[in-house]
Amino acid sequence: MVPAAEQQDQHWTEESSDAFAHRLAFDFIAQIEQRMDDHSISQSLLARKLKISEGAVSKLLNNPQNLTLRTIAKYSRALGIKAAIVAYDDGDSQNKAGPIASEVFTACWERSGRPHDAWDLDAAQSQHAATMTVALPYGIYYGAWATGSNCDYWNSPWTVHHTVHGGLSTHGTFFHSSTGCTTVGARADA
Amino acid sequence: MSYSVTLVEGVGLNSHRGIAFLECAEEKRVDAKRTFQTLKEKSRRDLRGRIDLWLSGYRFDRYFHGWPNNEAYKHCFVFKWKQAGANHRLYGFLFHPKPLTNQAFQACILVLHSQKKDETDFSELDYINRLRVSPNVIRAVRLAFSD
Repeated sequence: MVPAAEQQDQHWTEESSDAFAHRLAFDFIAQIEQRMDDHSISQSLLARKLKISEGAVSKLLNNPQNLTLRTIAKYSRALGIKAAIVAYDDGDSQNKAGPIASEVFTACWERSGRPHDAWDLDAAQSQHAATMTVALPYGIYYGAWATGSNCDYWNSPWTVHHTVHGGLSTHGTFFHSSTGCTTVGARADA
Repeated sequence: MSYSVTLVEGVGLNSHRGIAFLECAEEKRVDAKRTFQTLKEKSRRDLRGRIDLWLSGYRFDRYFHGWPNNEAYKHCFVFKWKQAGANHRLYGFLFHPKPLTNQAFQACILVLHSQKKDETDFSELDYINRLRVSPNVIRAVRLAFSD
């Protein structure tokens, strides 16, 4: 018998453009409601800021499927936040895994020092790389360089890992850019 | 009692989390899957969006939560949504079904639907706790998420 976990189908947002749009709207509303919870903003207060009825706010939060860009802009401004539309290629053209949660993009932006432009991002990356060089624990550094256009990156308190898809794995200091990543001062796996 | 576990369709799973329905023909109270299948499209999408967020590893107490600080119910879990002004809940439990290959992998097994009035009805969580430790239920969960 094949375990249920191996009987994978497509993500529900692949059903139709409406389904995909529903998920996009849901993601935005989740962020709005999180902001309201974090800052103790009630629906009535938000309604006053928007100069609309509380019922209209409630209706939008519970039925966001007809969300428009103008509404996104109005609600974001009323809550003192901004919004972005991000298109990305996650290598899942069949949409088996579904959209990536907006929170992931927000977390990446925050962890990069909240860059406002490309220069901020480059500066943050350089600073991050310098910090990592200092923080790297023991190991044999052999000055290898590796580049890749598709990489995963994560770190723990003790190690820094960098895996280029395809099997090449190095530990060390690296820079990420929009065109890929560069590994500097790679460390041989102990 | 004969139990089976089927994945929630269309949301997939990852190496950290998965989600499924418990089914039992003999127990009418185990109705999470029946409820899900009869939801209107809008509500089903709302619920799947919440499940997506949970699978992504994020915390949204407004949409789903457990009771980690309550020893008696620390394995119970709930997904919440509103439909026509009413508060709906799908209650279930958390389980680690892959002790050999992925100990950290966490499955959420949805058990029953409830329309919440005021406070949580803890008799429903007691019922879930009884099922959670049933050997037949454990066997069904392990089969669905086998190592």
